[in-house]
Amino acid sequence: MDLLRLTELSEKYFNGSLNDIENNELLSAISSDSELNLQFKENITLFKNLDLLREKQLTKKLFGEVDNEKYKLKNNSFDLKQRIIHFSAVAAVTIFAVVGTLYFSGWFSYRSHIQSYTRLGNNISTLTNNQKSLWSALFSNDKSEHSYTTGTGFAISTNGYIITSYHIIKDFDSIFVVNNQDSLFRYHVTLVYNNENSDLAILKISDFNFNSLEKIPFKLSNEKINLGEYVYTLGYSKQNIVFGEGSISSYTGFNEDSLTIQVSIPSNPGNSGGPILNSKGEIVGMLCAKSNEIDGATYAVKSEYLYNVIDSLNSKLDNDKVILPKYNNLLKLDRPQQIKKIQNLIFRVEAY
Amino acid sequence: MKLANYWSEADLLKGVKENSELAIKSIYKLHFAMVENFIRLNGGNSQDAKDVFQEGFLVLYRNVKKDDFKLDCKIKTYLYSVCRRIWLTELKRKNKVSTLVNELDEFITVDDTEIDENNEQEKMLSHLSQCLELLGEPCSSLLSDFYLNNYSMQEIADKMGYTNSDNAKTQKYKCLLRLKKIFFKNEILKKETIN
Repeated sequence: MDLLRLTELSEKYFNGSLNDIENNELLSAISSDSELNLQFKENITLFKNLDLLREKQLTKKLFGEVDNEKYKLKNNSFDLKQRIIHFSAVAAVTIFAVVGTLYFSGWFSYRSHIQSYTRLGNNISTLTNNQKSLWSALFSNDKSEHSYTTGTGFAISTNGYIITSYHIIKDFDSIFVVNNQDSLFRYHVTLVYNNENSDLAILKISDFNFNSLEKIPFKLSNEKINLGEYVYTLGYSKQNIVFGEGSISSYTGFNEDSLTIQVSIPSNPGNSGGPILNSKGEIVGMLCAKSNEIDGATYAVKSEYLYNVIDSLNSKLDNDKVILPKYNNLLKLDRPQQIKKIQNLIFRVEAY
Repeated sequence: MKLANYWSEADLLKGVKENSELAIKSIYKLHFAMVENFIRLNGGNSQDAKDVFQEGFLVLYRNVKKDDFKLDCKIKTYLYSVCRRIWLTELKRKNKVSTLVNELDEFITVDDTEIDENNEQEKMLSHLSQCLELLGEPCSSLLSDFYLNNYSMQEIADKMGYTNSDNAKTQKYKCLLRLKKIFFKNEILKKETIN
């Protein structure tokens, strides 16, 4: 008997489908030849193993199917929703049309702006300011007491570059930075860069009395921001400098804006433009706004973005470039000492 | 369609013995959660649980097929005991023996030899599937389709372009001979290297 025939008969034997003739043929073959007998036994082992492998794969497949069913079950409600959407397509289009019309005509934007976002320039909302200046221009010569704003700004290079919030100085042409910590000085500055969307402005001290600032002990952080990290700020929410502390509470800012972060520092008008420093004394951001709706949510422009802006500014400047401090000299100091070192470099920005 | 909850224990066992897909699925649906809980409470994740449950179920599956096997406790208890044993062995292997095992259910003692046998069997099966891959085409697909995926000879002949099912059959036996050769030869080789 050749091996192919033996294999065939072995398989039938394994399945129990041998008829009598085949059975005899097989038995006589394997009883007379020990080599065939061995082959037969091997065949049976192989079939057994194939059978077991089939069971294993079946089990695996079935369990996988059950897992998928569970998954589908979870998504069923979603399917239903989709179906509703399909069947009510006409209604949806109508709604979109109406909403779209309202949106483009500015019906919504007016409201949402007012309800949820305040920029922290002191005293004034743009609206009253415009109105008042209009009034004074039209009717009288006496200056309104509110016709200026103040905010905060901080120096980033010894040759007199200062970062602040654009909305503070937006409507004014005459800008001064004031510091009265050790000695009073008040310099006139000019605007060298502004971006209304990111609410960022870079000023340069342009006063003829000005030589240079003292050494800048902090640097812009280039490390990844950590949620929950301790941070603090210094700002001029009144005539003198005020300290405020909190932690980083979200990686993104208002409306998931990724240029900004959310910090839990209580902020007041006047804090705008202040630096946000971490415990090492590195600047992680610049405070720019707070939420009217969420308690304690203050927003700050990321230092990463400040870097980018300064880089692009430098590429445009021919001389007198912004030279960023490279080293952080505050690392090992405790907070009161850190503040002592930096308070001279944080200014009240006054705009008239 | 029978709902999972309405199977009696005897029905379930009979179903498994006859390779009923519904019965196998029902057992998974009914008893997986408990094993998963047990493993999660004892330092495993849900993927571990799936692997262990599958192994444990195969022990039951193989035993049910034996004529002399008689289950003298609930399926649930049996599966739990086997999976528990497998997981404890696994933990021991990883040197992560936790003195405190969080038990969820009563369990029967499982013979270690049974688990060992099962492990041997698993090794053999992974050897077999390796051999199947080693065979190359067309033998590999032909044998897998027939023996593992339950295709008929006619379907295979159509799929692989044989003129009729008899041709395919002859080819299948030839492939089987080759498979047998490497299956047993490699095993001998393995044993020699171990010694």
